[in-house]
Amino acid sequence: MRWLWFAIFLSACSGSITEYKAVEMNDSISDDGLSESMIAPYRDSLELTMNSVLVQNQVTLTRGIPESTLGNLIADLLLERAQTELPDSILPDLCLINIGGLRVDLPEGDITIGKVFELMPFENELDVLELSPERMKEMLTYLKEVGGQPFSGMNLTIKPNGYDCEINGEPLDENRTYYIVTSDYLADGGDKMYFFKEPLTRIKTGIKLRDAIINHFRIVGLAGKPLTSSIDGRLTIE
Amino acid sequence: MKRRNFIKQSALASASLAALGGLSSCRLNELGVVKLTILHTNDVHSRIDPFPITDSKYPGLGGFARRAEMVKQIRSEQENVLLFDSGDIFQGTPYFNYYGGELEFKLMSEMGYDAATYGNHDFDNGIEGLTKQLPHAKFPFINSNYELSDTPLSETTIKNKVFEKGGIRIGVFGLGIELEGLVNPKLYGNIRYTDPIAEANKQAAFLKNEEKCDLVICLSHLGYDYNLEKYNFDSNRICDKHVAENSQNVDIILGGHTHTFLDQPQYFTNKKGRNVMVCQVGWAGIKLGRIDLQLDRVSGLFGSAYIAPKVS
Repeated sequence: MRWLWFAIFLSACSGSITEYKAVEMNDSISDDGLSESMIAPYRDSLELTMNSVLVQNQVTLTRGIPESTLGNLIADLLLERAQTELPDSILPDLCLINIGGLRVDLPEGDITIGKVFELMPFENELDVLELSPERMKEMLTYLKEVGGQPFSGMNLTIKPNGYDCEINGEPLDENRTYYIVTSDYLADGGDKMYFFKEPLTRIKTGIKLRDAIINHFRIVGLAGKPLTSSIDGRLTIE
Repeated sequence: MKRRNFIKQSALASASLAALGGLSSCRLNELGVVKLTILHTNDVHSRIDPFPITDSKYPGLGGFARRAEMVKQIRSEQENVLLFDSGDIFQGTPYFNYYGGELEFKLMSEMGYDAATYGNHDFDNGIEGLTKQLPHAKFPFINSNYELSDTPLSETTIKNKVFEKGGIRIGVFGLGIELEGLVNPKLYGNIRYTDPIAEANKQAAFLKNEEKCDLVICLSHLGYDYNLEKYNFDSNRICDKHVAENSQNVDIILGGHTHTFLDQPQYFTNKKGRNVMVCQVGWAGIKLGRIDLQLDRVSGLFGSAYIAPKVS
């Protein structure tokens, strides 16, 4: 008898034993009232926070290559933050990030916490990598190929047949290693920055890029100053 | 649960049986077919609200209140429902940055999640940050391959759990990703990662043989597959595919981490030559995964015997 039932089951069910659906959560589904009432107070309070003003901005700060006002501002403040954060034995030499990681321009007027979340929606953290002379060379070749990325702590002139590079006001020393501040995303090879792969040392600061930006903006704002940045010729392409 | 005689299925799955077809599913229910619905999410990443309507990729999609409504609706239609999450509940919107995951856990509890496993981002506020929020979660966290004995999580995490639905025993265990290199060591403290494949086989054997489970489900945050160009730094990482292929008693893997949208489950052959079903629903709560299983209570044929792709 069991055999018969099993046979019936197999034959009748062989098409519908397992069914799978990935159900899209779209506006054809209404909101559950209780959940919505739980969310509302958090959402309202969050909106207040996001609307709070950190600092004033007088001219739109934009993104772009080879250099940009927003790129320079962010790279400078990240380098400064990493330098104050690390022990004296390690002094980060330069900071390199990617322009694609800065998601919006900073408009003229009030810069709110919400605006910084738009600028840096990712949870990326600052890492400091010690690069070999070989990797440094690869980094400079990369910058030449892509035509620039935001950096700080370096003056770079890209020439048709090479480059001139100064770090901390000294010519690039091809016999030493350098400490580079970047995001963990890039350190993991994001944006094809493969020269960051397998660094001699990797220090995770645990500081979020966004928090570093918010912190800097707040300090400038509290000092009663506006944001400032300029194109200062740190990257020249001949 | 009283165990029934187990009938070997081999040699039976022959075409000649088709002649017996044609009975209604109603009749089958009388014979003891149990329907079980398994719902799952992964990498919801604090997406409390739907994406804004202006979003370029997922305009207006997702949202906890909507998911709660859908789950409620499914529960009203189905008797046996389980709801799981495969980790990375935290991080991704200011809701997490400002409230630390409290609201995520409260809403998931209200929705009636049965269990979840940890994702790497659930440690983004450290073990302490997670532990602080755990009282808001009225569902257990299951992880089997993190050695947690030197951490506060050892008290709040279980290695496995058996659920009973309509007379079916469902064993669940959880696998977490290697945290080194992925999470700041300060944040994950004394959590020690151990081999997920060895642990999967240990847990699944225990659940099937000792706990007599009919179905074994793995909640995994290992990732679906790293053999892709975008993971070229990570191609040696153990993924759900590896677990499926090297397992013996796992029936279903509900995955996460790689944000992979699998609109249909993928099937891999395990060490016993049986199918293992691997599911993942992208991220951000854009989709709710739904598995509807029919299991035969009379014959005692449960589990992997029936985790087979739909035949059309």
